[in-house]
Amino acid sequence: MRKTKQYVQTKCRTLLKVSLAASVLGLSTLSYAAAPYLPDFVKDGNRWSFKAYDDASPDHTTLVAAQVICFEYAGISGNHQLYTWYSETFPGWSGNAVQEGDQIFIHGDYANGAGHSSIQLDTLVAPTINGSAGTWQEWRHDGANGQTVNFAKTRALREGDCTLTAREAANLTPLLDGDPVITNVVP
Amino acid sequence: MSKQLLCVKNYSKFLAANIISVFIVTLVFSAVLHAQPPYSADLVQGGNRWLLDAYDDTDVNHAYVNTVGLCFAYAGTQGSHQRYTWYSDTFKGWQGTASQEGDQIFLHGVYANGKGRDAVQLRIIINTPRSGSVGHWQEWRDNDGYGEVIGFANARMIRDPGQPCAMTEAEALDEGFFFPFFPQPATTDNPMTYKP
Repeated sequence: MRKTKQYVQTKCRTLLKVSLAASVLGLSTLSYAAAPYLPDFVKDGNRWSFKAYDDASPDHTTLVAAQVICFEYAGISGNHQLYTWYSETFPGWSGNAVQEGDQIFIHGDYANGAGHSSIQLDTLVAPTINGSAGTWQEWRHDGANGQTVNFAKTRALREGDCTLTAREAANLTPLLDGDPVITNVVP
Repeated sequence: MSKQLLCVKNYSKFLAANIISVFIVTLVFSAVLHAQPPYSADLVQGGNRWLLDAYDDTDVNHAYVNTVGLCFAYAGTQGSHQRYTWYSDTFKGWQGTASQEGDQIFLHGVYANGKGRDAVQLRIIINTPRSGSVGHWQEWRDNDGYGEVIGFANARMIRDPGQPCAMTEAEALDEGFFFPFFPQPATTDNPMTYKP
């Protein structure tokens, strides 16, 4: 029995050491996170479909069928990979995004700057799934506390490459009515 | 004690630990599924003034950038969300709306007459007296293009108990209302970086 106990203790110690080493390794990796990160929003396809779900609804009801966002590299700042983005489905909606590891932050405006969007995503899943999930806030300026359009949950999926270029998207007439998180403008 | 007996004993412990884990996970998930306001802790009860810190997320050391004061007021509920309005008592003309669901808090707001925008996401409100939360903060300005990024920051927000807001929302937004410690920021100033 003593031998068995010793054997179990030895195994436990080894397991503890391995766990400690893995933790230290993990933490040091986090400390030195630096771009480029893979997967990212452009390599393997820059066209992403965003779905929105009403976070205030107990069922997280679907808000729009999908909005398409196209990403382009915009350099690196410190340990952030920078992107610019524009929408193929909601004319006049564009902005900036950054990625640090599997955290992605997106902000943008629409309706000639009257509407604002902020999206946060976690866990950019690698190909072939290419999915991520997070939250999406959207509001309009009203001269006071702002008119909340929605506090939403979101899911983003990669869908190949965009067909519109940034210049072509910039030439589209901005949509003044409607809001990306709740308005589906694609027939 | 035989090896078989020891094995059975260990297996029983393992089984018991698993049952407890499943129970806890079930309890947590059922609480999430049935989340309904009011939530406690919240942003008003225990003190409605909060200090929001920004740390540069692009910096490898997440260098400290700035601290601002925010004041919250209840604004009803929407489904499973507790809503708030908020304004700053350190950066004139900065205000917005916030929403809480359990330990998730989302803020949006504008400044510089709507030219500047902020979004803040926080998790885990630690209950009083520490009342802390952490998350992310994005700030940008309209520039007729993709927007001028002011900062992608890490954020920490702590309640400032015993420190009532320095002014009411009406005073904070009144163009003629000035304190020595509440100067008028320049139109080019931004809350994330502004130091009076």
